[in-house]
Amino acid sequence: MKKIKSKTIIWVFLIAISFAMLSCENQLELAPVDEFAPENVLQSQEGLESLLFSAYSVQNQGPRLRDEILINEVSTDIGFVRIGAVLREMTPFMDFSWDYATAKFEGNFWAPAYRSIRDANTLLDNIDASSVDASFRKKVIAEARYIRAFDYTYLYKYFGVVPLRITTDLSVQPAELGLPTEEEFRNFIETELTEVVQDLPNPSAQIQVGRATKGHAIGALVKFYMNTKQWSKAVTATKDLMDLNYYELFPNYRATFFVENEPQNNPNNKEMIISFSLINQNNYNNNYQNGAFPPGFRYADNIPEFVWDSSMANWPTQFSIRDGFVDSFDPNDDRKKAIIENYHNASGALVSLRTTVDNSRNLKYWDSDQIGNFSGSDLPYLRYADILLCRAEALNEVNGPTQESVDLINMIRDRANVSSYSLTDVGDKDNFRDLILKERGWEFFGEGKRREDLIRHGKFIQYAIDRGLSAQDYQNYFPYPQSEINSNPNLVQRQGY
Amino acid sequence: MKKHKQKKSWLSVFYLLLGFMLISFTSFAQNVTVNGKVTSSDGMPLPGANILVKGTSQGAQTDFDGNYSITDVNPQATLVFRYLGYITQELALANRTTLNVAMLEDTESLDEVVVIGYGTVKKSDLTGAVTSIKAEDMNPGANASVDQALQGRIAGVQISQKSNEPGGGLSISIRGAGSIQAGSEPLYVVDGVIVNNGSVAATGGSGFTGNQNPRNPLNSINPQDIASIEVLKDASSTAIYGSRGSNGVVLITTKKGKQGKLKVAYDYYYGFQEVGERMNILSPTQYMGVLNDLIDAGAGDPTQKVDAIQGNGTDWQDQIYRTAPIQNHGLSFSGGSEKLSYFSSLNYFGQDGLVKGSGMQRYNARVNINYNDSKKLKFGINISNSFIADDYASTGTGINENGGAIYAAVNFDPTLLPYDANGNFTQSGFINIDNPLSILAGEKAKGENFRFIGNAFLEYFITPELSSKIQVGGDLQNQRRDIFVSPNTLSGLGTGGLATIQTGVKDYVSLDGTLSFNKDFGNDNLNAIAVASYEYFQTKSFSGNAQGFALPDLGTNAIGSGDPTLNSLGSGRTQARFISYLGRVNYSLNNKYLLTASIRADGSSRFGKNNRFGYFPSAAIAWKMQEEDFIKNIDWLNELKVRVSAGETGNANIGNSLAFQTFSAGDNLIFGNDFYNTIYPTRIANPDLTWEKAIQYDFGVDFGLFKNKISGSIDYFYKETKDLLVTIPQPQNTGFSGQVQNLGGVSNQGVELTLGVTPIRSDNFSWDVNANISTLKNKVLNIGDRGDIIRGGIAQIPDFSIITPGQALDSYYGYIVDGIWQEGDDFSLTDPGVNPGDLKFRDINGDGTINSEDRTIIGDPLPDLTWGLVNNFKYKNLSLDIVLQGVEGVYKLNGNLVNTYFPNDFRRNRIAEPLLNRWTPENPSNTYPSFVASNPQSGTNGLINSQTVEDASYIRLQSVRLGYNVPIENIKFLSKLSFYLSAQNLFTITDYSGPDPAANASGSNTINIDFNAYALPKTYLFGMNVEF
Repeated sequence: MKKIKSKTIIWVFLIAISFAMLSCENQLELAPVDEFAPENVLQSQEGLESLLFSAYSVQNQGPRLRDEILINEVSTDIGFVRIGAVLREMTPFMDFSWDYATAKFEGNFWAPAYRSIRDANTLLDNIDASSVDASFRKKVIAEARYIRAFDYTYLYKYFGVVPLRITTDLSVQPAELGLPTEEEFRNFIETELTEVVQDLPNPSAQIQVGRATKGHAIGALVKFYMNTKQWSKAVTATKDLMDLNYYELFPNYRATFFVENEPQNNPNNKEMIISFSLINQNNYNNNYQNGAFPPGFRYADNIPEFVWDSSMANWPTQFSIRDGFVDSFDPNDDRKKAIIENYHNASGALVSLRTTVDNSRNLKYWDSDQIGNFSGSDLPYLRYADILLCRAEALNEVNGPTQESVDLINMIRDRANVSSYSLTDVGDKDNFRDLILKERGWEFFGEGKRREDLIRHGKFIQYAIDRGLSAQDYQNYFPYPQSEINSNPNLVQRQGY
Repeated sequence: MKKHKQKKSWLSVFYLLLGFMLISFTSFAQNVTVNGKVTSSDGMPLPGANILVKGTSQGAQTDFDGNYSITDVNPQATLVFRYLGYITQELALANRTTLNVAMLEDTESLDEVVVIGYGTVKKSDLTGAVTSIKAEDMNPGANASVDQALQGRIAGVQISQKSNEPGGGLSISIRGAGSIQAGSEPLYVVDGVIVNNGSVAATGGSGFTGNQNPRNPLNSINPQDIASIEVLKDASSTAIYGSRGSNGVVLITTKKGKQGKLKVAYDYYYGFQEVGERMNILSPTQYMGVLNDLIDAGAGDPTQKVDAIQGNGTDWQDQIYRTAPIQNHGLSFSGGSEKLSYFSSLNYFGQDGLVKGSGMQRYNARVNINYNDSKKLKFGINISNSFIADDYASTGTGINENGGAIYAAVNFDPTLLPYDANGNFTQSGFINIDNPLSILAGEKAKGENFRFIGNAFLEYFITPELSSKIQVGGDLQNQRRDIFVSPNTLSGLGTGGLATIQTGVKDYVSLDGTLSFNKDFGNDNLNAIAVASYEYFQTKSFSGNAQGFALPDLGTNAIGSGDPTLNSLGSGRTQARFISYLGRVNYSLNNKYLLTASIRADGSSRFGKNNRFGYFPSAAIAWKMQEEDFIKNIDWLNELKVRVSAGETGNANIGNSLAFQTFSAGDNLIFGNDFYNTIYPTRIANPDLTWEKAIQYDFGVDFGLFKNKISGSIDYFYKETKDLLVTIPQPQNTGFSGQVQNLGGVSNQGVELTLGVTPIRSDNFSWDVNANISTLKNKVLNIGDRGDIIRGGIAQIPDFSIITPGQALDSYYGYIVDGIWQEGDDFSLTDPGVNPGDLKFRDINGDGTINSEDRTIIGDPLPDLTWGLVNNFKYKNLSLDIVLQGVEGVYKLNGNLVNTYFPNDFRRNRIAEPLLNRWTPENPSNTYPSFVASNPQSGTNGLINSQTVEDASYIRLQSVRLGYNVPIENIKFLSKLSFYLSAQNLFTITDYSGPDPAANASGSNTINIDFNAYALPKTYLFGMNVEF
C-alpha cells in the first residue's frame, strides 16, 4: 500500500516537473536587466537627451588630452618629451616614423570621433519617431548635427577626408563606407554648420558651459574654412562670430587658463568659444601638468599662484618645450611666463632647466586643488584669440596686409604686453603670414594647434626636415587606422602609408 | 595496490579450492562455533559486516566492535565476508574456530567505479578518456584548493598557479586552449551538480592596484572532503555536458560515510613558508655604481647621480616578505548503518602570505547524508558551507604611484633607508613610486566570501531495472570586499582616504529529472538514462566608493563619513537560463564490446534568438581484448582495451547579453562643474550568436601488463573548435569597433601517456612510480579576413599577443634581437640614432628601417610538453612520496625584464644580471645592451623582443612527503595514527630569469605575462592524522 502511494507521488511529481520545465522554455527569452531597452531610450526626452550627452561626452578627451597636445606639438618646433613610457609612445611623432600600427590614431582620434558621430546619428535617426515636443526636438537636432559636423572637422585635421557617415542605418549606408570627395565633404561641413546656427542658442543664453551655441557652430566652421584655405569664407564666418557680440579677450593672458577663471567659475571670461570642462576627478581630469612638472617640483617664480601639495602626481616622463621656441619670445612677453625655465625643488634649491637642451616646461595648466593625477584645468579648444588671428590671416590671404588685420593681431599682442605692429612693420603678405604663424605659436603653445597651423602654412614637413628628420609630404595627414582598413574594403589607405 | 589485489584474489581461489578439498575429505567432522573479528586493512573494527556460511542460510553480523560469532558451523565450511565498499572475501574454515579477517577496501581495481557525467561506470567499462584521481593520490602538502593538489597528476591537464599569493588564481587547461574570448576553464561539477564558478566581486578598488587574477573560486571546497576527482577529457565523456563541455569537465565527488561505527578523524598540519626565489636586483652599491656609470656614458641626467647610500641601503624585498605560518585543522565524523550513511566535517585552514599583510583563512562545514535501499529507494543530501576571509596585499599590475608592494620593492631606490629622521616613510625625489612599506601599511583590502554548495536527490526504483530520480542543486556565493587606501600613501595622498566596498552575489540553481534503465541480457548489459534539466544563473554586484574623509580612521566601517559629493556608486545584474534534455546509452556486448552514445540538447537565454537550441552528439566504442580467448592465454597481458570516440561539445561562456540590442549608461558628461548622465548604444547585437563548437576525436589504449605491475593508457586526441567567439573588427565609421560573432577555429592535438609501474613490491618495501606526459600542439586555423588579433598589453607594456592562422593562440609578437650593435658595424644599414651598445633588432623585410613590419612570432605561451612524475616508497611503516612536475617548450614575456631594459624613471632599480654584464666599449657584450638608450628603436613595440620573451620551461620538485604510520595494535581507542613531514616547491630548474616561470599576471590562461610575480613559497609542514 505504502509502496503504491509513494510511487504515485513520485510519478506525479516528475510529470509536474517536466511540464514546469517545458513551460519554462519561453523563459529562454531573457533580456539583459542592467541595460536599457531601445524603446525606452529612443522615445523619451530624457533618453534622447542622455544619448545626446553621450555624443558630447566622447568629444571631451579627459585624460587623453595630454596625447592630443603632445602629438600636435612634439611633431613641431614647440614640444619635446623625454623619459619613460610616454616618450616611447611619442617617439614616432618626434621622429616622423609613425605608421599604421602606431596605436594613437585609432584610440585617440578615429574611434572616439566616430562613437560621438554614432550617438548623434542614432539620435537623428530616431527622434522623428518619438513623441517629444517640437521645441526640444528642434534644439537637440541642431545640437546633434553640430556635434557630428564638429567631429568631422576634427577628423579632417588628422586624416583629411574620411567616410562620411550620416546614418546608423546600414541598409542606407553600408558599414563598408568609402570616401566622399573633398568637395562633398566640405559641402557637408559647411551646410550642416551653417544650417544649425539659427536653431542653436546665443552664447549669452547658454548656461551649461560647453553645450553648443551659435558660437560653437560658427567657430568650428571658421577653423574648417581656415584649414581648407577657404579664406574669403573664413573672413565672412569670423565676422559672423564677432557679430554675436558676446566674445572678448580676457584681460590677462595667463589668468585666462586659471581654473578660477573658467567660464563656469568666472562669467566674465568670454574668451572661450569651445572648451571642454575638466575637473580634479579621475576620468574627468587634465593630466598634462603631471608630465610637465620637472623632478621634485615645488614652485616656480613665473607661476606664483600655484601652491604645491604633496598629493600631486609628478610623472617620470618629462613634457618639455624646445629651446628654439622659448627663445623666440620677446623677453617681455607675458605669454612666456607660462613657460618655466627654472624652478625650486623639494630642498628649496633653484634648479635651472636650461642646463639640458630642450627642457623648459609649459605650465599653462595647473590646479592648486589637484589631487593625485587629477587636475581640473579645462582644455580651451577654441578661443576668441584664435578667431581674431584667423581673421587676420584670412584677410591677409585675401587682400594682403591691411590695417584691420594688423589691428587684429595687435589686440593679441597688446594683451601680451608686447609692442604693437604698424602696417609697415608687417611687411608684405608673405612676411605678415610668417608673423601671424609666429604669433600663433606664442599665443597657442600647449593648446594642441601647432601641427595644423604648420600644415596650413606648408611648414610642417619642412620644419621636420630642418630638424634633420626624413619627413615626407604625405605625412601631413596620418594614416587611416589599420583596423578600419582591415575591416572596410572600400577604404583605401592614404597614399604613402 | 593492483598487485596486492590480484594476489588477494589468487589467494581466495586457493583457499576456495582448499576448502572444497577439505570438505570432500573431512565431511564427517563435528560442527563447531566460530568467533572472530572483522576489521579494515588498517585494523579498524567494521561493525555490521555480514558473514555467511557458504551454501547455507547460516550467518551473522559483526557487533559494534567488529566481533562475530556463528554457532554450529561445519569446520570445513567456507565463510563469505561482505561489507559495503570492501572486497568480498571467501575464506575456508579449515578446522579453525577463530577467523579474523582484514577486509580490503574496494579501490584501485579494474572494477573500481568511476564517476562520469550523470552516472557511474565500472572502470573496466569506460569508453572515454577519463582520469580518476582518488583522495590518496592527490599531491601531499598544504593545498588551499583541490586543483593545486592535482598539479602534475593528470596527463593532458595543465595546471599552473598564476599567482602565488595565498588562495591565488590557477589556470587549468584540459587538452589545450580552444577559445579566444570565451575562456578555457573547464566545467566543474560537485556531487553531480554543476557549480557556477567564477569570482563575483572585482579585484581592484579605487586607488588600489588591480590584480587581474581573482582568487581561485575552488578555494571554497575543502580538499580533505574530496573522495575522488574525475577529469573528463574526450568528447564521448564531455558531450553529456553539451554546450559547456568543450574545455573538459572536472567532476568532484565528496566523501560519503561507510557502514560501520562512528569514525572520528582529525587531520592537522602546521608549517611555515619562506621565499624561494626573489627578483635578483641590483644591491645598493651595485645600483650606485651602475647608475652613475650609465650617467657618465650618457644615459641620464647628471642631476640624477646617486650621491650616497643611506646607511647600508635597504633590501626592499626583505622588507615586504616574511616567513609565514600555515596551518590546518580538520575534524570529520562518519559512519552509517546498512542503509543510511553520514559524513560530516569541519575544517579550518589558515595561511599567511609571504608578503606582509596577505593571507587567507577558510572555515568549512559539510554534511553528507545518504540513504541507499538497494534497487528500491535512494536519497541523499550533501551540503557544504564555506567562509573565506582573504587579506590582500597590494600586489597587482598598477604602475608608478599606483604600483603594488612587490612592484615598489623591485623598483624602489635601494640606497634609501625605510624611514626618515622623523620616522616617516622615506620617499624618493627621483622615482614616482611609493615606499614599499608605505604601500603595505596604507593599502588594505579584505575579502569575505560565503559559499553554499548543496544538493538533494531522491531516486525511486519503479522496477529494479528502471528508476526515476529528481535532484535539486544550488551554488550560492556571497562576496564582499573592503578596500581602504590611506591618505598617507602616494596613491591616496590628498584624497583624504579612498574607501571602496564591493559586494557580489552569485546564484545558481538547477533541477534535474532523470530516468535510468539498467538491465543484463545474458552476458550483455544495457544502461540508459534520459535527463531533463533546468538551470538559472544570476550575478548581482554593487560597489560604492568614498573619499575625502576628515578622519580616515573608520575606513569602510563608516563609508558615509567621507565627502558625500565625491561618492560614487555602481551596480549590475546579469542572469541566464539553460533548459537541457539529454540521453545516453551504454551497451556492453558479451562483456567484450562496449558502445556508448549520447546526445544533449541545450537551450539557453544566452544564445541568439535564431539559434536557441544546440545539439551535442557523441559516440564511442571500446573493445576489451583481454576478454577474448586469444588474449586470455597471454600470461603477461592482463588488460588491453582499445577505445575510439568522437563527439561534439560546446562552450557557452559567451556572456549573457551579446545577442541583445540595448543601450548602456556611459561615463558622465561635464558641462562646467556639473555632471550629466549619458546613454549610448551598447553594441551591434548578434541575434545569430551561438555557443562555440568543438569536435573531438580520441583514440586510446588501456593496458595492464605483468599482473598489472605495469599499467597505463595512451591517448591521441584531435580537437577542433570552431565558431569561436571573436570580436570581429567592424569598420569603426559605424561607431563600433567590433561585433562579437561566431567565427574562427583553433585546433589542439596531442598524445597523452599515463603509466603506473611497480618496480618493487615486497612485504616490507614497495616502490610505485606514476608518470604522465602529454604533448600539445595548438594552432589557430581561422580568424576571419579582418586581420590578426593583437592584444594583451598591460602596465604600459604594449600589446604582445597575436592570434594569427597557423600559429599557437596568443603567440608572442615582437622583434628578434640579433645581438648588440658593436663599434665598427655598418650603421648605414639601419635607422639614424642607433649607437654601439644598442639592441640589434632584425630587419626582417630588409628595408633599412625597424618598424612594425619587422615584428614576427617569437614564441608561444602554451607548453609543448607537460609532465608529472610521482614516486611512492614504502618501507614498513615509513612512506616517502616525491612529486616532480614540469613543462617544456613554453615562452613567457618577462615584464620585469621589460622594465629593466626600458625603465620609466632612470633611477629605478633593475634586474642585476643584464646591467652588471652590460655592453661597454671595454666589454663588447653581444648579449646585453649598454642601457644608454632609454627607448628601443621602433618605440613602444620594441619592448616585445626575443630578449624580454624568455624560455619558461621548468622542472619543479612540487612536493615531498615523509610519513610514518604508528603501530597502534596496543592502543585500543585509536584506529590510526600517522605523522608526516612535507615540503613543497623545494626547487625549480629553469632558464627563466624571473622568480617563478609559471606566474602570469594577465588574468587569462593563454595571454601570458609575468609582472612582479608574488614569490613562490617553499613550504615545510609537520602533520598528523588520528582516527578514533
